[in-house]
Amino acid sequence: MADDQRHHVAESSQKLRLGGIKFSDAQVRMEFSSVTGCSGLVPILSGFAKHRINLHQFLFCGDAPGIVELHFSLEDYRQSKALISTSLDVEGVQPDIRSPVGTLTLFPHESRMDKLLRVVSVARDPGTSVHTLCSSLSAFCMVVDLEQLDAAATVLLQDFSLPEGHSPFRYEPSELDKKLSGGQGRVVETVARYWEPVIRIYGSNLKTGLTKITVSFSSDQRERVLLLLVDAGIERFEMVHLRSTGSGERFTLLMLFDAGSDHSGLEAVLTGLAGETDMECMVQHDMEMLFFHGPHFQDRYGVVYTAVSALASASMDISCVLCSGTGVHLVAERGGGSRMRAVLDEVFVVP
Amino acid sequence: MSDQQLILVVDDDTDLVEALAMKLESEKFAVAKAYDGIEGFDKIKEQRPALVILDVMMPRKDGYQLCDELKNDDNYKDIPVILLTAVADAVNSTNYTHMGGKTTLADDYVPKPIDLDKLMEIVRDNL
Repeated sequence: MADDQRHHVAESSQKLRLGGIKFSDAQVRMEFSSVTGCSGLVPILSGFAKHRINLHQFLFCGDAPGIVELHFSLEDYRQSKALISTSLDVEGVQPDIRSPVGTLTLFPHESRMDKLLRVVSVARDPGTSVHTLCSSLSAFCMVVDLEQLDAAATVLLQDFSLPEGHSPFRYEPSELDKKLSGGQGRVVETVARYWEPVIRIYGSNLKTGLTKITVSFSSDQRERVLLLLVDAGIERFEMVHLRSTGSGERFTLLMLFDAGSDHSGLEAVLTGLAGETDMECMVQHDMEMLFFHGPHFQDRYGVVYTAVSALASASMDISCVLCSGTGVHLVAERGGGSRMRAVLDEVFVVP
Repeated sequence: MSDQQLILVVDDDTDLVEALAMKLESEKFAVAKAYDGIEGFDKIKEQRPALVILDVMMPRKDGYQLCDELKNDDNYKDIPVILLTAVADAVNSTNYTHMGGKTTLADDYVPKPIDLDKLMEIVRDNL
């Protein structure tokens, strides 16, 4: 990419359009390392399902060392911590806990790297600590300290514009909502904590021939790393997860995209990054991603448990699981996508 | 000028809005998006879609309310409305039952989740 184009991607003064921004209620973000692989998480996920605790977001990444990231409501903190501690004490693992945090969801991203770059730039703001930024089918879900939600939105709106008459950032119940829920709002369908023996979904989508990269870098390198990927011809992504580690000094980027048949530009960029001090870089080609989504998956307990336990029972190797928005992304090596789909067809159905 | 028919999707589930938009666009429809009932009505007034796919349970103004307003307004009552609602039969605590859906003035009623190909058939049947 020419310097002037590159500059345009990073610094264009023209605002990018969004459809809306939403704020979550208070949540807890918990992260811990896992040496047991995804199947080792089944007891923890079973505990969450059994106690009807919803996971608003979930990540398992099997790169060594394996990382697990869970997000749940603040009201479920005590019970969740007890469930996790019981399992982790056996392994001598201490979770990293950030609380209270909130998720700022902005949509749609249209899988565009230029939008991702603009969103990442919010992290330059000294008043905002971005703990996690991940993609769902439609949206970026940015996790910041709860008290920073408004400030983060203000910074974002320097780079993005919203339509007139857009939905408010915080949930406002409808009249019918108020009538049904006694003024509390959002207790009927939109927080549908129900269980289906066979979970119904809208359908699944399998993508093959993808490239998965994991890059770890110091926080001041966030935009540069993304710009280098744009330089290498990556304009769109299939899945993104960026998380801060330590006290926010470092970030780890996990990204899946279609790199096309010629990987030479990408390889050159990644080789360059891997050669730098303070950078760690892994790349895997020929990866497959199975994506599915269902009604209120973000508000329902037991969805990720159902997926992971079914795959563990079938002895499937999962490279990565990301639950965000109302969708579940499952990543495996070549051939794994269709095998995962066959296993999950038993527990998730399209009516 | 495009001769594509415009479909408005109104749902607070942004992932579903995006999935429906992708499917509708692949079927050569133009798509407008809104994320609650008030924004949905604004888009209807601005863009006059050929058909509206409308979620029931949404912030600020729910789908029943918006559907009733449209169907009682001479300017908009001819716009077909397909009402979507989630798995009401699995939720004991809801009044948004399938029967409730059928008593609205919507032109068609579809329980979530629905196969997107089937939904495209319903869209075409109502245009």
